[in-house]
Amino acid sequence: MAQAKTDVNLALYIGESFVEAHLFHNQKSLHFNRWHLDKEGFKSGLQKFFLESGVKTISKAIVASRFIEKIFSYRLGGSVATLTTKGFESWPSARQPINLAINQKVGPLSSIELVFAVDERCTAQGEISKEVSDEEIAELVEKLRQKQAKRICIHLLNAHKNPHNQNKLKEALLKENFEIFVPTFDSENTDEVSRWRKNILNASLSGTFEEVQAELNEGLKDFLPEGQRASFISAEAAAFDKESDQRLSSLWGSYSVWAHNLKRQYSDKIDILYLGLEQFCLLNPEKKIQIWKSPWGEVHAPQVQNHLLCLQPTTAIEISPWGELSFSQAALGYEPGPMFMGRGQIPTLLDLWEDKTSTIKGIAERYSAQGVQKFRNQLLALNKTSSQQLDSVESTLPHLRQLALHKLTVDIALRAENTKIICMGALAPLFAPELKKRIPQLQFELTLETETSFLFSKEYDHVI
Amino acid sequence: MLSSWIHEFAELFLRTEKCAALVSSDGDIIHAKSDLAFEVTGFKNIVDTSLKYIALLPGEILITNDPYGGGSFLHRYAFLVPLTQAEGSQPGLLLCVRREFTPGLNISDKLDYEGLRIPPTPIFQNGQLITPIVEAMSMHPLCPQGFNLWLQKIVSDLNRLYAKWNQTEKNCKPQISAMELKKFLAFSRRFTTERILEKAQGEARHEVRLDSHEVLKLHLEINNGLIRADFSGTSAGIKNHLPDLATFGACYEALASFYNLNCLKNSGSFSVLQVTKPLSCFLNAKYPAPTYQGFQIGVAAVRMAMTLALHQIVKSTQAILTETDLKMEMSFPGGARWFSSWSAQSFNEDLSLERIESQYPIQFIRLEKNIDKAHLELEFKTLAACQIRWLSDFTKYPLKAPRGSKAPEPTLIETMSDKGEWTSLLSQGNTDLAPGTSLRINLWGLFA
Repeated sequence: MAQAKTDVNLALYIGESFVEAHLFHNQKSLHFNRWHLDKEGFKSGLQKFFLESGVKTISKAIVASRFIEKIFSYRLGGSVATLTTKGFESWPSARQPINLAINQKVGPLSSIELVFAVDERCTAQGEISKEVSDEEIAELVEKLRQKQAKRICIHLLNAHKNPHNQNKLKEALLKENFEIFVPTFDSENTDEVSRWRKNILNASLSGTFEEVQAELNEGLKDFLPEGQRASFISAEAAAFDKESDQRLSSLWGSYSVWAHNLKRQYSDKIDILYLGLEQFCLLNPEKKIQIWKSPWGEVHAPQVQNHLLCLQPTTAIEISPWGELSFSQAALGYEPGPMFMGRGQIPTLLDLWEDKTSTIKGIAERYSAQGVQKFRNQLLALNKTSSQQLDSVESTLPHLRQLALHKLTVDIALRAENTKIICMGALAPLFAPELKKRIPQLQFELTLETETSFLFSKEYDHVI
Repeated sequence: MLSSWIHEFAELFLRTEKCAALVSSDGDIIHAKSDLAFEVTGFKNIVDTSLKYIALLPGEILITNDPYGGGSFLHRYAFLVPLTQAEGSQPGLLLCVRREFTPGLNISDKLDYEGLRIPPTPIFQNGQLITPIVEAMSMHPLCPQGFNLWLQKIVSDLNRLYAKWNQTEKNCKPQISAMELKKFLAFSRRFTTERILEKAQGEARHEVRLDSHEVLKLHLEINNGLIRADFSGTSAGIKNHLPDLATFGACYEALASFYNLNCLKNSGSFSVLQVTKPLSCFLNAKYPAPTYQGFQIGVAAVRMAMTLALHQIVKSTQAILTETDLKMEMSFPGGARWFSSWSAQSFNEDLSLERIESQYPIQFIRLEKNIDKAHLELEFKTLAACQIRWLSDFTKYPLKAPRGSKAPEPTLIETMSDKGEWTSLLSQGNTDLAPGTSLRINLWGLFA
């Protein structure tokens, strides 16, 4: 049925590989779909979605997105250059944490070739002891052009005490059409490296973020009122569009929406167990954390308290360092994804439950009998190389399922802060009953709300 | 269940702790971790010495920081909490957590002048903090300010952790039987031995001379995947005194790093190492010898001797990283005191130049990294008169490395003389600095 009214709204949840779209009319669900980005891009997926729904116009579109997480595994920085106080070009990279697994420092966020010194200094008291000269700025512009830098982060020591040099550089570079990013000072975050990391992340993510925005808005152009764009949700539950300093924060936008709404729905204190297609995590909607332990070190990024569970839907099954068939530390994601979806080469946790995925939108369509057979062969091969071999695939499969559930159970029991656990997400109907059986003392409650259900809730309207 | 499940379970339980261990009531370390890796083997002794005289019930808490009872620096306090009692074939389990409070550079000629030493002492029993004991500790002249409040916070953290354990035990029944534990420790030993057997076996001798005139002699032997470190011939302590448990810990740390064994730290994996040291040598110190310098300099010297010997036996050409952190304390008029710890490999996550400049009369001049030379240099100046105390390295002279590899340069502090020349300071000491004096810290063994 075509819905001609303009008070229809669109809620989108964009994960690393899946998009979930939900149309609402007066908070009632009109149409829902989830698709793999590999199958349909944002634009074509949305057009198909609207065609299926029969809806011709919407009044607004709100997006909760974790898409940028996808590019974390690639080297960030790209065309982002950094200008920093002379003598301190190596400071952020010296502060990078050590990856204990390989006993190596984590690579810096920006390539050292794109870090440029600025002969300036502001003291801790805010006195400019060395002013940046016009000649130096002209030289910097030349160097930045040579390196084809587009986005520039300005990281000067003590600039928050007196931003004179920072402003002078910023104005000059803006005139030259560079996109400028300056760190936001926050009295709760007095560590310059953490601020600088956040600023580079926002700058580095900008390109991808803007591409996603452009494609989305292109896809929504015919449905939204003229000139209106989709709004994104930040970790503070605020809507944003072009604000470049909020891009990183979009990672936790969905958590804030779920937390805000679910804690209103329940009178008891609750934990939220999110069992989504791409992520398993436990949230405490009552609490906030200030620090994000990013792969590049700590970043001040306030967000709802969340704990990623020790196993994720795409955690690889492998032979552990001890020679046993077990789970790795890494989640592989959906590119290519679990083996039962046809393209994956490495068995994952979700492959263990492939027979229960036929009703899950987004992955059911990709089910491949050939992939399942490949998974079973792979499991057999892995079992043969393990130091504690099991008899057959028939015994390996339940063994690994039990192990996975046991690990998840222990992790949840250790991290849950409340006895009432609200389970949500596409895989919640599959896993929640199993977890409930194993931890009878915790009250698991399954909510059929999807990731997008709350983006247009009544209580939430004033926040966005 | 998998053999490694015990390890994974312990890892999950201790995930939020920097330095902690799960220990059986028989004294077997099931899993241990620490930001100062030499400490991991000492947890066993904390349990042994504490439970020898004190009976603790599950949920009760005991504190100790005695360096001669499995402890470490006096500012690192260990807390012991029994989680379960032994029952039938199931050993009791204990949680041992170590937390740091107001670290400083406290060097003296007697341990009891270096700080407040707490022998194993119960502080939480029958659901209550034992206030008279905590107050008595707080009134000690060397007790750091704010200790009482800090202790209360730790007790509340540990109570939460204990409650979490109870909840998990009730819900998930992660029972560990004596048989399973024995199997797991045997499995860990086998795993460690196999890792060692992957590389060459043999023996090597190494001698390290410390600037404080102690001489460390090591005879290292690797045979059948087992390692014997013999420190016979090592001299008595002059300034450096290291309790034997820390010597063992430092040796294990070096071999764990060399063979990449950091994933498994338990009594099974520790059992591949045997350490012998003469009673009178500085690696077998006895109370009341001071230990701060030993934990800093002595541990670094042991690790370096082990690393050099391991490289020699295995004929490794891998770069040898420095084993020494630099500790420095600057005291300014008015009582401000800046204590800092520097390592080329890892900067403290909290270290902020802006924060230091706003809190102390310090101005940073530059920081330079040279990855090819594995060198990191930091230059700063003091804007006010101050006194500086430091511990940099066990020697300010380069070490002799095995053929084919290069030992790192020593960690150094330099000051700029009136003539504008850099002069290196001794490896340890103290001096007064005039306002405007520039200092340079040289750290080696930088990770790429």
